[in-house]
Amino acid sequence: MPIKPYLFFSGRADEAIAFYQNALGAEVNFLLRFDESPEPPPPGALAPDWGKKIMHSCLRIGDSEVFLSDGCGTGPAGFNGFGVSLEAKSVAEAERMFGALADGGEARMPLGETFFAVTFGMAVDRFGVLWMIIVPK
Amino acid sequence: MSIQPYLIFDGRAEEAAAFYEKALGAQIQMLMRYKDSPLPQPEEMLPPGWSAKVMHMALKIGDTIVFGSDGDGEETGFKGFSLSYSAKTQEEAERVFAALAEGGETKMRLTRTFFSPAFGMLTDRFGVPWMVVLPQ
Repeated sequence: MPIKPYLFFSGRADEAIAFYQNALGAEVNFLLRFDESPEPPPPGALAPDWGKKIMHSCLRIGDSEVFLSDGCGTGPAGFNGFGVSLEAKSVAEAERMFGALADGGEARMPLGETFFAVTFGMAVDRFGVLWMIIVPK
Repeated sequence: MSIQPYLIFDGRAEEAAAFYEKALGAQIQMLMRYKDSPLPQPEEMLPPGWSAKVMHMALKIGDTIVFGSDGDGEETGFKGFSLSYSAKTQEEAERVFAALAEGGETKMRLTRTFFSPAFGMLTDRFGVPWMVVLPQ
């Protein structure tokens, strides 16, 4: 799989990992904090007190892997211009995941049948990540 | 349960598909425009002239699928994520990096790091942030 999404949580990566473990059964395959890195970053590259933040992590979600980190903490937080499409195996699984992801977030489009899907819906989670949940036809 | 990235191109989705075909050998598996959708779009939901824009497309890159769309004209810009491209050889890493960076911006040239013999970061001409990595 040459391409994987990499999400930046601007200081909330630990919280996000715990949330996805609960909501999606995500498993942490790898996690490295900035102060564990063998190579210190250049001075000024990171926000102050960023040592305990996550430099890189890899989550297994179902059959896929997603990368996640806190970023450098020096730029604006937030997500824009993309989403994560999540293909569920059944309507029941889609409903469970949708409910979990929308909790503390926003149900952008409720799950329902469309011309391309048995069920499709969109939810923005509490961190601002847009999830598109689908059981394809 | 499987995950695919979904990119919202603000009107340049078709141009992006052509670019990724060339830069990454992507195959356009499907591309549907708003005007070809079985669902009529209420006119006020989309900007004028948006009916020829891409409602949904699927690009196959290696064995990965990346979805894309022109969205509803309100997205303006990519923030908070990157796509990580894992190359199999140094040659592939260099070729993919150069192709994606053309017309875009190199953030970090391909360099040896503690975790990879070749790792680099760039933003492509559409503003999509990429990491190119040759795993250890």
